[in-house]
Amino acid sequence: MLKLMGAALILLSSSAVGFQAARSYAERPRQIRQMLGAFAMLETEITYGARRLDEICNHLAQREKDPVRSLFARCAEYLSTLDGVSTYDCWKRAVEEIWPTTLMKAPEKEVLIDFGKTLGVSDRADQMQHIQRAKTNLGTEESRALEEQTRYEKMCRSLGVLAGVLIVILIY
Amino acid sequence: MNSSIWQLLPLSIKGMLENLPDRIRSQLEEIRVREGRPLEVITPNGAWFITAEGRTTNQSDEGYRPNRETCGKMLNLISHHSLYALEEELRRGYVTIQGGHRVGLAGRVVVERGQVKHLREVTGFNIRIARQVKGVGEPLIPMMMPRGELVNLLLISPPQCGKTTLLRDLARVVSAGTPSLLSRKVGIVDERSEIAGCVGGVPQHDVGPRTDVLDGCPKAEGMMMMIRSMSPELLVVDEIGRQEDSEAIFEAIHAGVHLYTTAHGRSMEEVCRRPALARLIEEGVFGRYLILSRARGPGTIDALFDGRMNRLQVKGESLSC
Repeated sequence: MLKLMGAALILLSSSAVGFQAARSYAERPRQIRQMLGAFAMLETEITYGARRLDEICNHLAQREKDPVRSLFARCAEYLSTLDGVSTYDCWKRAVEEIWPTTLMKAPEKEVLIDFGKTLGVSDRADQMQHIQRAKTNLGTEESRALEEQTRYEKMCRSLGVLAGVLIVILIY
Repeated sequence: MNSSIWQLLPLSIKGMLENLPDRIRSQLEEIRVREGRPLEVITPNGAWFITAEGRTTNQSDEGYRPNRETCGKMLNLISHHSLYALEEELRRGYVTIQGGHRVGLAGRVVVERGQVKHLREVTGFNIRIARQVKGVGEPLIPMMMPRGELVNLLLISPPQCGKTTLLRDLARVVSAGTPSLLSRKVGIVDERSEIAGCVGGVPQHDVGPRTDVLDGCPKAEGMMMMIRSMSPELLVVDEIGRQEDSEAIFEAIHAGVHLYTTAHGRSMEEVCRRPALARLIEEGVFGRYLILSRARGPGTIDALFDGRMNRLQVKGESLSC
């Protein structure tokens, strides 16, 4: 009886690991898509609205859900409180701080940080160009993430379950 | 000093200015920040450099010299990290901030097809602190409005003599009215955002309850827009001088609208030498000419003439601009 319970526990935990891994594959494209949505908004606000960057960030923070929400909320806070340090530094700090809470990966981070270098420091036409470039790059990452999702999501789930079964068989 | 100005300054400079004696701090007219050159403040009583400890000095080599980083910070604070929102301002070379104060900018100019496109590497800032002096125009009103009627006015003065301050207050008084004077609809065409000091389209100075402002609008076009759409009884325009301005003024006068305006100059003769103005004066457009100087501080009234160039007596002869 005890043995059976142990086996069930092993099976459960290894499946949980598998499902967790699968979730990260499913969440990554979703979060990238969310980021893309925020960027579209940013583009409109900058090129047509010409609103202040800290106001835009606050506005985006109100509209979006985590992790995009906290990225823009942090950024807005740094922009208005850090004694005029460069926009890039504020943005980079915000990205670094929220990164552990996201399920996005290194390539997206690179795109975001790279984008920060140009944020706010040029005229509207130029800003539009940079935002669009960042959007294209994020789009590429999104399709890559989707591909990985279809390839690995199911596999992770089955692997988790099967690995559990294997361990149970081996030690039974 | 005003909090909206403190917000523009990086902590280091803020600290120095906070240490200044009160009598200087309360009278500041300009704060000048130039990269690699000493920090300077200007008051009506003189100009000083500021040392890193916040003392005033006359020796330029003792002054604190802001570096590139400080200037970068300052630009970030002025633009709120959003240079794209200041395209027009960078082209004109100044930014109007909350409270109607202005920050003049200097640096490397980027030119496209012979026209200034924007400023790059902004290295010089001139924070001009605007002080609205309410009531300076009131003692003049009886002279400006014989029998309570509006008369076209030309204010003549060199820079920094209180011309805009006076014009703003006259607009306010006409718009608000006084116990003995009917209030009127006033339209201000504020090409350089100096009269009303608009931020986001809202006047930062009190220009009266019945006043409409076209902010950042070219004068000639703005006057026509005002007449067509806002039916003002009095148009207030700053610094006329170009040919198209005087044409627009003729249009306005013939449409039955009155006009308060200003021109740079030291005397009637000087103004009469400028072709666009000379024509207006010859045609007898203006009913009053007021000449200001700085002889006894800003806002000294040098002379007041009526439309036929008769000198009128003014009580007091000095306004507290």
